Amino acid sequence: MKEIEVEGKTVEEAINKALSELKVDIERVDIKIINEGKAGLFGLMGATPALVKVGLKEPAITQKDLSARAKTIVDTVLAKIKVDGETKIANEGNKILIDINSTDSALLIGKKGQTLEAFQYIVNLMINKEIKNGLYPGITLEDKYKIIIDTEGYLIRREETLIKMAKNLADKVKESGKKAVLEPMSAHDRRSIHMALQDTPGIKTESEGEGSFRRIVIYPAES
Amino acid sequence: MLSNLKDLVEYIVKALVDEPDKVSVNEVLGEQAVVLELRVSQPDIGKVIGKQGRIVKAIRLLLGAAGSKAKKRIVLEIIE
Repeated sequence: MKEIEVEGKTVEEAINKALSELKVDIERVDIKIINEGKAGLFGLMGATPALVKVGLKEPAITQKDLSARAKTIVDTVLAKIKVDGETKIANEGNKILIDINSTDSALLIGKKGQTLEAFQYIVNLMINKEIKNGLYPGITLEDKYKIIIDTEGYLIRREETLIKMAKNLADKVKESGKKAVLEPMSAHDRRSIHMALQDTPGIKTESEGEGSFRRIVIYPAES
Repeated sequence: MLSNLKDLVEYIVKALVDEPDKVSVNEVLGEQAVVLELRVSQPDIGKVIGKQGRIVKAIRLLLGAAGSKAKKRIVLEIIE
């Protein structure tokens, strides 16, 4: 905890000095008055300055609580859909990864991963609503926490497959000189492909279409 | 055994709306299907449906997974 000691003519002045030094509001600090200070005779003689110790409060809720809450939501939903699973949390910056170890992982993944994506979407909505309602002082929507739900390493495998497929198509486009249109994908998947192909010579990638129909098109680069 | 799906819908929807007290789910059991009738307050309807129905679609997908385990079709209806 960051703590500073500040002197002032009065307690109030000392606190204000400390707040401007720490650049925070008064609610965010703990204040200990060490010496109330005394005004001396005729203003100067025998005056003791007020001395306060001001420390920054720990945020009441930390990312650990947010992760624990996300895990509780996932566990609760799993119990209600009668899927046995063990969940593990890993934090990576503002990403909270929840991995579900379950024999029912195929069921959780769903067609093309859409059930898993839906699950993740709902958990994020629920957590964001709680953040918005001020349940986690010190955390706002601006912090952009994102909960990622995976099961049995599916997301990683899926991304690898996706990139492999995109690279194969890029080779075909280069050979044939004809564009290739991919099927519609989520923003996250499109991003993976754009990134994977950005340095591939002889082709370029674009996203086309609107909303849930947005898809990648690989074009031969004009020479 | 399926009453936990009613709970599931309540659990999720109450966490998304502004007026959780006004959320209710009625379960209608059929032979092959279960119909869950969801009621929320008028101003909260949008929060349950989402842009282009994205939220209700996500809830339906989760219910679908639960239903395939229970070998039943689960239908979620929002009643206005």
